[in-house]
Amino acid sequence: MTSRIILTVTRVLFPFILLFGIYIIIFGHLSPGGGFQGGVILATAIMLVIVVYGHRRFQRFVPYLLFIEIIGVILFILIGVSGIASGKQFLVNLGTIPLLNIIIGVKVFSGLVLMYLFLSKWEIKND
Amino acid sequence: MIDHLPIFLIITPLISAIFLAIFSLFAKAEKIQKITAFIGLFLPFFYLTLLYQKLSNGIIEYNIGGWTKPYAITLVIDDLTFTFAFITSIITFLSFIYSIKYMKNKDGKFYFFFLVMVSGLYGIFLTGDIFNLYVFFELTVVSSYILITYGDKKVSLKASFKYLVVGSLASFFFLFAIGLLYIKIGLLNIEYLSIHIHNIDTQTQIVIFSLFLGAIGIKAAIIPFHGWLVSAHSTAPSPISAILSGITVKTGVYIFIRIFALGFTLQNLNEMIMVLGAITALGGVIGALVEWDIKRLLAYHTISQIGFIIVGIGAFSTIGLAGGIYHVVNHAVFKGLLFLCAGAIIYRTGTKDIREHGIGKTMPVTLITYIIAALSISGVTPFNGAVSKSMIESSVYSYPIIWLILVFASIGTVAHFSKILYYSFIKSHKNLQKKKYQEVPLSMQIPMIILAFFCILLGVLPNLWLDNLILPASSSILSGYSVIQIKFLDPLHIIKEWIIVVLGLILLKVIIVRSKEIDKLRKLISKFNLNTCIFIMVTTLIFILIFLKIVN
Amino acid sequence: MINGLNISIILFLVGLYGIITNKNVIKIIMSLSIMGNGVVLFFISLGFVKDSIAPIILPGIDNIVDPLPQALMLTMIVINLCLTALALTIVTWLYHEFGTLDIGEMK
Repeated sequence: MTSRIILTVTRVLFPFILLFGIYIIIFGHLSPGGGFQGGVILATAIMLVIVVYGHRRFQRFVPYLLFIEIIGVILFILIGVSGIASGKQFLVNLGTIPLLNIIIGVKVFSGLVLMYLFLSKWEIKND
Repeated sequence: MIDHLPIFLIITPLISAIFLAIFSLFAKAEKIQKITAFIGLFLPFFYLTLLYQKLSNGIIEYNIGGWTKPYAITLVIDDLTFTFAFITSIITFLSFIYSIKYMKNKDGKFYFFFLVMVSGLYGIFLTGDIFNLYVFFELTVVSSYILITYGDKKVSLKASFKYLVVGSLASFFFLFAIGLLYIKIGLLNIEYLSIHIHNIDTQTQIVIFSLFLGAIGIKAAIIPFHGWLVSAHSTAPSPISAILSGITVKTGVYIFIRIFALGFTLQNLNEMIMVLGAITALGGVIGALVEWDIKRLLAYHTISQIGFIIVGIGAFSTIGLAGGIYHVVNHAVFKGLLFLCAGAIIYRTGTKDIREHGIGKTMPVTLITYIIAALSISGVTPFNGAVSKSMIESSVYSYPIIWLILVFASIGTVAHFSKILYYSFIKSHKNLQKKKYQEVPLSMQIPMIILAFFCILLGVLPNLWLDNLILPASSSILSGYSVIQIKFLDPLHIIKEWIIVVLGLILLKVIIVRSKEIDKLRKLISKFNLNTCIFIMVTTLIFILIFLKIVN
Repeated sequence: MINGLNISIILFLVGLYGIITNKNVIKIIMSLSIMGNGVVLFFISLGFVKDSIAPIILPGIDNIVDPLPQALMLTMIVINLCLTALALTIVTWLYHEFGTLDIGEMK
């Protein structure tokens, strides 16, 4: 039973929290922040919406989030191996640190939202 | 491409885990998943054979990220690493083949966590940076928490939770010690630490070593810190138990060798560690007196054999350290074989209590491989346990009390394994008339036969393995290469072994006759829950700290 | 007297006391979390240098605190998050199997 105030305020605040999270991811290599921190903020934004509006209508996104996670790991290892292909060691800095930050941010966001969606299936209704 | 082999050794199981995850999004993909996992576990063999040629030129080092040596995360392969990685590749590959038929659930998530755990194990053995060791440790241990829950539901969840809390405590102690080392020395590379550690004052060295001993004691299950091991290893599914008892407990021993080789300048360290090892060796055998569950018996004997290894390493002489490392290799092989045999019996009879087995002669391959493994762990001559146990015992001749405790532990080991042999195999149970048990499927027999073959091979040709595998490993820790020759069929050792076997059989008769008083002991031991375990661990750590402060 | 190192040791001991005495499983996980935060605070206050500022390298600034423990702690916070999530999943499963959250009654 969520009240009118909470529904409205969530709908207004949601894009600002998303924008703040994206800002922290992208500026991670110059100022405090980075992949993990920005990913957690993005996940907080989505989880606020899921908590307020009920988790049942978001269960259909689970296969897409799994797909994003797998793509993230493949891209990460590809960037690492491209360090080997270009003649130097694994994970050498070819100017790819902002790209790694973005991949980690997307992966952390999808991982945390998946964790919440899976755990909320076990919820016990106590009325 | 040969230059980049160290990092490929860690990444290959991870890449095949990712491909497994991709294939799980499609339907009906079990065969491709198993083939992917097979390739991911078989390629490290190939890498290790290539690395062995390269290793004879010197230590292989590899800096991740292109940075220079003291500031980078380095992957170091020397002979000790090669020994542990070699045994890891064998045990995990054979355990995977065993688990194809054993695991009854048909989804691919089990193999995903299996591959991630294997990747973490290679990472622990290969890394040369102490914080990277912590990271790979957490990767391995988190995967094993998940893999344990694939056993029987109720008991394995409780065991996994207990293991989780205790393992996190060990990680926190480890991190405190890393922090103290960092603030005194300034870099995190293990080689750099071992050069500069004598600059630290003695009081801080005492605190650092006690915290390391707490973390290592929990991970390697030395006696005051052992509370998590019996329930975790006995409720896991059998191939996972084989890897956990064979390799994951040995990572604690590996870290112990590395930390001990950093060169703490404290007095009386060797004696304290040997006393802890002797108590562990005896305590594991005493704890197994009351058990009738086959996997709990095997888990208690893991604790006892780790006690032998810690005694051998604590002596820190050439023969002691070589004996300890050889016993690591031998224990992984015969304990893996024992858990696979136990899994075969449970697969066919459905119960873990050995009083209800009574298989008799209907499973011949299991019977023969079990007898080979039981003779190995008891230390009878043509098999591999005899060589390493006699090396460890001959390194403590100058401490007669510790030698006597080790002999008592050997007697108890013989007694318990003949107990399992008698109840599970020889004594026929009434179930045998109701249904006939057949032998387990072929893909479960092959790993057992290969491991039994290794048991015999490691015992009959000890000098081959010593010269090429074990002595280079121990001489990379102790400077100076020395040559040990094992005299095969030495009559004094054979007489000692058979005296131990006879005394063990007498002890078995005592156990069978007096089983009622022993059951009362069981009610005493089974009161230890999570809170008591952690309280005992913290108290022992404080005692170790006080002891070291008094002595120095 | 009140600096980061002492407070972090007190936090760690509070968490340790929580693990030893609590019977409710959720409280044990919370105590583990407190211990983890104690270790994080310990590491970050190890790198403290007197009269220096945050480690953002701009031209002309050279008295910064040590940035290496902060990088190590990022890794550690991620690992603690994963451990807490796994512990909560196991606790949820335990509650559905046994019906109680008390670790003494689960035998």
